[in-house]
Amino acid sequence: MPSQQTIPRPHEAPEAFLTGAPVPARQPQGFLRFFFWLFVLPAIFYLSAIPVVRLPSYERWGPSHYGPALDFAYTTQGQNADVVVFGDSSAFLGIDPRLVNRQLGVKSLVLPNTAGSLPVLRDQALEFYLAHNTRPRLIVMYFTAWDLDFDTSASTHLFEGEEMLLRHDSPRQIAEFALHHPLEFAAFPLRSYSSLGPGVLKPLLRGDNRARQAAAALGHADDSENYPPLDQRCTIPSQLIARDRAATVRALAAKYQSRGYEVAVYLAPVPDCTNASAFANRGYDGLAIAPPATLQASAFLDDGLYAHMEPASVSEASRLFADAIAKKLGK
Amino acid sequence: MPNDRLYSQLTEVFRDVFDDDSIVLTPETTASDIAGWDSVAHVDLIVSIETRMKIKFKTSELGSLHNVGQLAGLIEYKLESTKQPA
Amino acid sequence: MLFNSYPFLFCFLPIALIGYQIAAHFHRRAVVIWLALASLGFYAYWKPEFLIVLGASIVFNYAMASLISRRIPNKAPTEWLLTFAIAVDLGALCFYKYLFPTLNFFARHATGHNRWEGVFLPLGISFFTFTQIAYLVDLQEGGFEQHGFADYMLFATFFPHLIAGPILHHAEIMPQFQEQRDYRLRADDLAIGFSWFIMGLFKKVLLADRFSGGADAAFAAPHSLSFAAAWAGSLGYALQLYFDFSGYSDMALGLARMFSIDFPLNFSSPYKATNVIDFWQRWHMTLTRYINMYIYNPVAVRITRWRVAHGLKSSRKAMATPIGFLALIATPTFITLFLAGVWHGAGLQFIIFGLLHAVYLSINHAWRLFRGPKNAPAMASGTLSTRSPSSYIASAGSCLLTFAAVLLAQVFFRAAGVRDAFAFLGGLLGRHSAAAVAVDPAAYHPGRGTLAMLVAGFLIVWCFPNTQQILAKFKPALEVTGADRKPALINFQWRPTAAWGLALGIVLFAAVIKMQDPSSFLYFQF
Repeated sequence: MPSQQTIPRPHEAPEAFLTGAPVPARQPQGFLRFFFWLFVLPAIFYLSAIPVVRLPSYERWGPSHYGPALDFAYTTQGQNADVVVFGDSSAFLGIDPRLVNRQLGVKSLVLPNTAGSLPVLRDQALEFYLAHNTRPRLIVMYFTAWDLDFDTSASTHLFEGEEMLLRHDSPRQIAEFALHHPLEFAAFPLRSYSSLGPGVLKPLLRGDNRARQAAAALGHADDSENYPPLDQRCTIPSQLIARDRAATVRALAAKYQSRGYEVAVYLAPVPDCTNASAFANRGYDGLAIAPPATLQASAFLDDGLYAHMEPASVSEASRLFADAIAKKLGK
Repeated sequence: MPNDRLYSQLTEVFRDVFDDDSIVLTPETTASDIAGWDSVAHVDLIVSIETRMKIKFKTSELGSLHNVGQLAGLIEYKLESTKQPA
Repeated sequence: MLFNSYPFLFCFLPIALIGYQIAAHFHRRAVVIWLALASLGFYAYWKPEFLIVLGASIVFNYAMASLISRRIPNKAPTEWLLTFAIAVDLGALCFYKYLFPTLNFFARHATGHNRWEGVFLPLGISFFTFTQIAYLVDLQEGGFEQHGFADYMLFATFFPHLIAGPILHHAEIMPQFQEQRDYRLRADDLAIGFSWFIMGLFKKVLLADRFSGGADAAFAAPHSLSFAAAWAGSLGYALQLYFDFSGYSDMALGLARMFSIDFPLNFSSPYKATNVIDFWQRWHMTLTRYINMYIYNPVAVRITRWRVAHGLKSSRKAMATPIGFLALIATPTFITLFLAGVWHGAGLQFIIFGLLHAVYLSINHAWRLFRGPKNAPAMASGTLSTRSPSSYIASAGSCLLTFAAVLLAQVFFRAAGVRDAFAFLGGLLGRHSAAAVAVDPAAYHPGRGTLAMLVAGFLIVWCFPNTQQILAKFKPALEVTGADRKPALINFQWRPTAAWGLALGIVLFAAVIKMQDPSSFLYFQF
């Protein structure tokens, strides 16, 4: 067998190649075997992602960013709370139910969801809760002012909901999702790997159990990213201000009211940016208890979402929330 | 042999341009083999050859030469095509 | 479409390969047409409207070529036809490259030269314009016979080189498409090409992005740079630019190789260069070759011929005189580098970039004249020598000096404008007060990991082999440069073994994960 160095390239040995004879590909088996070795690990990583995500213990040690919090919503049997808060990420990041409970003397908890998971899971978490607990005195729908129509707003973070879908839903529901969102479904393993990184090692080495932490905090979680606080001179992007429809939440509220539950819609505080006045009167025709409160910009994280609270400001946001629902509870 | 004559002429030009009497040319000699053969020397070389052998290079020929063998072949071709028929 | 994107990797490339294999069963012509159409589709994916620009450019230039070669019979002097064609081509290039950005700059005070270029500028317009102009120039001189339209279209649009080079010369590419050979895919070329592609992907997606954050931050606020921040930003940018561009070139060459086509090399460990002349033989090599062939040589040769015709000397001794140097070396060098600077972007800072390098090259040539040819290093002097400790140190010193010169010019290349460039230089000299730095919230402060990343980056750049050296056993490109013949400090070679397969597989997977659109990932940790 001639050594690899002496085998000519197509453009070096014209005689051999110009006759149109089949080109003697050097040791094709060797190269085809190379492709096996090339793709074997990626294939294993890719195909094992979904089974691993479905492991019950995944949220205890896994790298998923919001997974542990969202998973809490599926472990709420027997909580029997007085106030159930259902909403997007501004809810579970913004208020600490333990502080609310201390202030109002009731038991409240948050069913975490994100703007990305809501289009996928909708009100599954709420249905699950109501099926496994006593009737709450109040259901609060806690949303960012521009997130009230999540059925129609296209989200790029569907994988957050996909994770819960894969862990808790039936194969039929999963297949239905896969059929409607084939690209998202195919990309899910890649999304789940993307939250791997040095930031994940430290909590792991410390032995943090984020799932237990979320349960202990009754659904609350602090954003683990090190975002700086939002600057005073911020401007809320116009695309967010333009999202002023509330059809989805309105329908949800109506659905549970018609089943006899007491429902209130609470809008998350907005940062005191230069154009925050756009929300001064946004109560969505009485759907919400009140237009969103305005807090100083530095109470928010500069993560591009203008809705997540700095951990240090959670107590203030919780107090505002407790004050707002106190009347509904007759306090 | 015309080839030898051409190579001896070329060697003279090279030695003159690079001021180095030890230069020996083979068909495989490339720019990296001769000290100081950069773009400046290349131009000097080309014009010296043109003056010496009374030929003229085209733009497309100037840059695409990879070794002395190709250069010699090109010069031979040009000399042939400018020869008057007997 | 970018090479480092999901649509390309999972959709376009497999389809292109499968279609190619099918076409190869029929005829060479089918292969050419399939690749040309696929390349047009590749281009249209970005913005379908720009396909009109590309199509018009190809049709116009082919028509002009037909007129020049008299395939379309006519009596017009070929020089006029050529001049007209070049004027139109360059006019269109200037229109897109310089008019819009200039207007937009004044309209919006845009800060980065990269940010809006992709929006208004048809991708790769510089590349496919230059490639076609070269074809016309050579054709007019009568160097070869004009090719068929399908072949010409493929030459101008072949997708590996369409967006970001290398700039191909027709003489090295056309014959490869015209051979009567078996065009079916080859396992060895697929393996070599895809491995090369993965290495390029690694550089672009996993390395270049590590440094872009710091570099962007530093150049965005150049007036508030501390000494450390300025150097971190500058060095970071040097690494980002290198890994980005050479990574993309690696991907291009690898892709071409998958189709059994050999491309010319574009990079050859440029930061290992020991002088500026050598640097340009290693950085964006096809551009250097192009401007050498079509600008420097014609200008320099004409000046030299003129001098000879007028009885003036053109020898080495003549070059050592001030007038001789000015005429024979400095003038063509400055013209060439000025145009190279302008080619890179619209703005005074690019002109300064070009002129700086013109000065460097002139100094380098003058130095060579002084030292005498016997002492001058061979053209591709390359890496650290192994002769003796003192020459080792001398080589290392020249390498650092060259790198410093390149770094300085890069500041002008990257800065948003001339004022920002000078502010940045002030930062490099430690001229900005700590108070000014503290007051600006946008001031760049290098993180703790920055130093480690920079050290790692320079380790790769200065001590590792480049990709064509890694692939050397398999004749990766059309030729081997003298520089590449000298092994790197650390040496390893690619072979189709399980170890390489596994390693590249991990790299591929990591890159694919990193390639996800970052804007939809606010908490990307990878």
